Formats: sequence, structure tokens, C-alpha cells
Amino acid sequence: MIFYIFLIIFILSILSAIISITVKDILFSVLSLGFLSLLASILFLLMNAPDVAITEAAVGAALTTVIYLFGIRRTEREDK
Amino acid sequence: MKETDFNVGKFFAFLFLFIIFIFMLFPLFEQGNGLKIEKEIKDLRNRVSFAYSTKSVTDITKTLKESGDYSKYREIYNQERNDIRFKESANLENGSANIVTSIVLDYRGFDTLGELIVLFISIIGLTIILSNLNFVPFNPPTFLQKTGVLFLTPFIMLTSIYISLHGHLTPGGGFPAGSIIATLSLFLMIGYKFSYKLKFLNFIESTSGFLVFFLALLGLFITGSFLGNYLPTGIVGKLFSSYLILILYSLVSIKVGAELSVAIKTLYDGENNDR
Repeated sequence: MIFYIFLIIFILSILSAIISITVKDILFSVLSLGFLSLLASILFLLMNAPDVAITEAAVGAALTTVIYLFGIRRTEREDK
Repeated sequence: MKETDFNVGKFFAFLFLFIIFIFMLFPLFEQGNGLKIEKEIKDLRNRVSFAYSTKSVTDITKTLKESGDYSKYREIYNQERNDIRFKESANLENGSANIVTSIVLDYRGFDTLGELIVLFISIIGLTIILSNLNFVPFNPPTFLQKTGVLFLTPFIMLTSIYISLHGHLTPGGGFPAGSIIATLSLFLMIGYKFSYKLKFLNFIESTSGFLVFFLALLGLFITGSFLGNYLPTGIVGKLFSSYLILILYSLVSIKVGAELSVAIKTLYDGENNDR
């Protein structure tokens, strides 16, 4: 059971990483990066590392996404 | 930039991702017994980490230095062994119940200080790049955003206070609590129209950072080692137990929260639109 959960999380994280570097719209790439760090925090929680999971969820999923979104709002959205 | 069909950077990015993917999948299909650990090492008592978990590092290093025979360290461990009971044993060399915190902030405290400096330098770079810019203010938040923020803010405040004060008891600590405080300040800016001045945030950040360095240097004068524990460590597992770690972690959370809210505030309003 835990094997399949790990496999699903691995495949989803790889997919979101590929999406974040290929998509032309930077907004979607930032959102997929946030999703990637959320999946990473779930992985850390499954591997019995709640310290790292809390930090990853607070910094990776929330703060860096917000800062990137502000940066996109202040600059241009489309990649050229 | 010239557009080409074959993008070299993208190709190497895909190659790198593919290698990481194979590396991640590799241990899942491994058939075998795994790493074989000797029976002696399997017992926690025979490992180096035993000294850290029983909080008797200075005693063991002192006895090892006096005897001068490092080959017999396992026997010395067994001699020095004394059980640590939750909410019973008192006046240990390190009072935090969470072993990770006791290593991060006491035994390897110098590393945490380096992390603080790295974060400080990154925020300096961001504020230098964003200095003297007049940003167009954002649109006022819609009804849905406002009510969601109003509903979520008290819970986020509670979790940030809990994580920062219970750093020595439960997982968490200064850095995640600081980033949650920064998210809280963003929510206060959106929902409650609560506006801080940048001068105020800078004052909080500088005073807490100065206090962290001052308390760390006091350990050098009193105990002879940087970040040494010189305040009394009460009973293990109580809220007011290891006073130095409690004070240092709450100061670190305030410092990190103020720094990250400076970054969010400069991106939200702009430095010149400081209300």
C-alpha cells in the first residue's frame, strides 16, 4: 500500500517539475512549483521527518509561491 | 534572444530530471535484505548518538579525554548511562525534550547562526533590488478573499505562537514559525488593512538579531563554548524547562518573521509607498 502511495507521489512530483519548466505561462509554472513542494512535504511526513515537513510546507508551498506571484504581478506574465 | 528548435538548456534540464527520476525509482524495485547492521551497532547504546539522546556529551568527552583511550568508548558509554524520564529528570546539561532541537540549537548551534546570516543576506539583496520603486497599488480584495482571510487568520496566529513557543518540546521551531508569521502579516495586510511601517519591522529584526548574537556570545564568556548552556534547565518536558533554548528559538522566530514580512511588504506596497 505504502509503495503505491510513494509511486504516485514520485510520478506527480516529476510531472509537476516538468510542467514548471516547459509551460509558457509563468503563473502556471509557479503554481506547479508550489504543488511540487507540497508533495515533497507529504513525502517528508511519510518518512517520519515532521520537522522538515513543517518547514517545507511553510516555506516552499506558502511563502515562496506568494513572493513569486508578487514578482509576476510586478513584471510580465508571459515568457518570451 | 534567438529562437531555435533545439534548446540546449531545456535538453540538459530534461536529462537531469530523467536521471533524478531513475535515481528515485531505483530503490523501490530493489530486492534484498538491505543493509546488514551488526548486532552490536543495532543497539542504540553502542552508537555515538546515544550520548546525544541521554544528554551526557560533556561527561563522556571529559572521561574520554582523561583516559585517553578512544577505543573503549562503548564501555564508557555503558558506565555513564543514566535513564532520562519524561517530566521527572531535572538539571541535565540540555533540557529540551526534542532531540533535534537540542542538536540544532545547542550542540550544533553555530550552524543555525550561519543559516540566520544566509537569510539576512538574501533579504538585503531583495530589498536592494526593490529599493526606490513606485509600485501601482493592487486592486482591493474581493468579498471571497476577504472572508477567507478573516476566517483563517486566528488559526494561523495560534499555530505560529504554538510552534515558536514549543520548539524545545515538539517538532517545529524558529524557522517554520517565522515563515508562518510572515504569512500572517500578509493576511493582516489583505484582510484587516493592517499596515506596518518598514522602520518598525527593521527595528524588531535588528534588536532580536542583536539579542541572539549577544546571548550566544555570553555562552562563550561563561561556559567557554559558543552557544553554551548557562541558564538553568528545569524538568524535561515542561513548557518552561530549557530556558536558553526557549528564549533563543522565540527570538529566532521573531527575527525570521520580521525579515520575511519586510520582503512581502516591499513587494506588496513598494518602498516609497510606505504608508
